[in-house]
Amino acid sequence: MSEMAIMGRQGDTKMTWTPDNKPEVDAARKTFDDLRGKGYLAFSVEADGGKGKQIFSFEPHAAKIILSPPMRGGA
Amino acid sequence: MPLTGYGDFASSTAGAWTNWTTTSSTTSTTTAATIIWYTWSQSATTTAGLQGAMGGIGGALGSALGVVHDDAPRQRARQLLKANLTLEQTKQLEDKGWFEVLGSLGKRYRVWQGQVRNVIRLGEDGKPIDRLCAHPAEDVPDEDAMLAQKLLLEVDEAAFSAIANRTAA
Repeated sequence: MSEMAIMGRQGDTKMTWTPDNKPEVDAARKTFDDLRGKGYLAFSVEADGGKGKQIFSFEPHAAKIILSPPMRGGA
Repeated sequence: MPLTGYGDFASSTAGAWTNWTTTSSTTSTTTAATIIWYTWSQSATTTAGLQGAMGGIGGALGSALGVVHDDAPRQRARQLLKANLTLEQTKQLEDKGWFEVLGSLGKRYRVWQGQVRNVIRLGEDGKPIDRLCAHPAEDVPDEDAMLAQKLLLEVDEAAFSAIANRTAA
């Protein structure tokens, strides 16, 4: 089971899919692409908190993906 | 949890105000006060946008005024952050209120609790050089912002630096 955590006002929203389940993968990919289109940053991360990697296209076999709203400079 | 004395009230209020002033860089004080008063006046609310700003005001003060304070967004954010920190970073956050991140270009950063001016760039001697401010454009709980900062620093330190505003440490 793969998982995508999407950050938002309510904390993160989780979306899961099984890599060999095409409808689930398609739904996850669509969400990923929609958010990437809005400038979200996507990271594929491992379970131990180690360094992740930035991804620019959906990876159906990723264990966990985190999507963050685009970053901006603050005060 | 009922109020147990002025100390609880004062510390809760101070915590919330500190949190508000450090997390809201664009909203005026008038707006903040209006929203907070509006929320207090409701018998039940889950006003999402206030969660980050209200911070510590929720428990004691919220209950005393009959407000149901929904802490779920911050709880989720805390869980997500902790799930994506190393054991050492988790210990640093619990013990010291910050965790260190090694940027992709080799610089070290200290990410403090919060999301505004909460990233400190460290020199080779471990002393603060400057304070960087970059966070998600959308209003998210502090812990989500801290995780986004960590992830971007680790994979693309240059991008983070290019976005961030800097002030003296």
